[in-house]
Amino acid sequence: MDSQLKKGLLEICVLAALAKQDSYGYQIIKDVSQVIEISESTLYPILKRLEASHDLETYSVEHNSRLRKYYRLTDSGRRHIADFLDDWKAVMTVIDFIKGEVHHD
Amino acid sequence: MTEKEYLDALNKALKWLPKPEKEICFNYAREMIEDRIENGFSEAEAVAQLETPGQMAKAFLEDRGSLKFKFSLPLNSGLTVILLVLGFPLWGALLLAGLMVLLAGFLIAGCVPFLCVVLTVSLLFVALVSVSASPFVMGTVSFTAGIIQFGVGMMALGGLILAALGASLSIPWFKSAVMKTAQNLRSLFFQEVKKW
Repeated sequence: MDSQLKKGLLEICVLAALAKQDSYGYQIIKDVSQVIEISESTLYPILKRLEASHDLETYSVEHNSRLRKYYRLTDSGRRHIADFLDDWKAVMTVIDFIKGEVHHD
Repeated sequence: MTEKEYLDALNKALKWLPKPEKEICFNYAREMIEDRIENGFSEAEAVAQLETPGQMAKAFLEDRGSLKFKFSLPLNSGLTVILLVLGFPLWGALLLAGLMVLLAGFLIAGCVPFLCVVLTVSLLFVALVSVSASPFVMGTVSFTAGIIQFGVGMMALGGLILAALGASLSIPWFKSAVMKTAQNLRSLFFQEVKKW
């Protein structure tokens, strides 16, 4: 897969992993890696970027006598997912066109 | 590799990062290991599942916004460029002189930790030789000479402790002074650009 495309998809996957409930680093990796390969060093910059763009926010909770950092999806993050899905509909139309033309030949 | 070994290696690989940033990276890696352990993996398995400390550090450093710098002198106006070129003999000489003075200052200041290290090593040698040789001096030359030899060894040992203390204090001080000055010099001409 093209690296830029993968990067974009990973961002949305991370946001989607937080859509149902707040989550933490390792859980996000487990959820996202079911559909696309992701490592700790890939996740780290994505989380920082999404936090900087206010698509998610963080808080710490004491867990087994240590602090665990949790990530929460914001309204901006939800809009980001919705925008991606809208854009993807347009992309799918183009893909259908390409497939049709290729098979037509 | 144990968790401690992994985190120590990561810490070493990130040694040039400012402490607060290093803490963030460090906590992230530690959390990843400890969450795996809580999920039933052994410590060794949890560490083995992560990328190497070097790869992890590379990702942290590559992503760090402040790694990118932008030249911050206002060179956008033609007049500024002309003035800079015409004034170069003056400001260039002053800049060079300033840098040389700074370098000389660092060389002099660097003598302190260097001297402490050299003193530590040489006094260690003196102390070892004097103390171990004193019984032979007592036996072959005279008892008094042996006692004096032993005293010299003890004195060297005292000096060694002081020199080692001096080295342990002056080396971090010198390192931090060099880094702070380099950062200040860099901020005169370059501006940090945040990636995100």
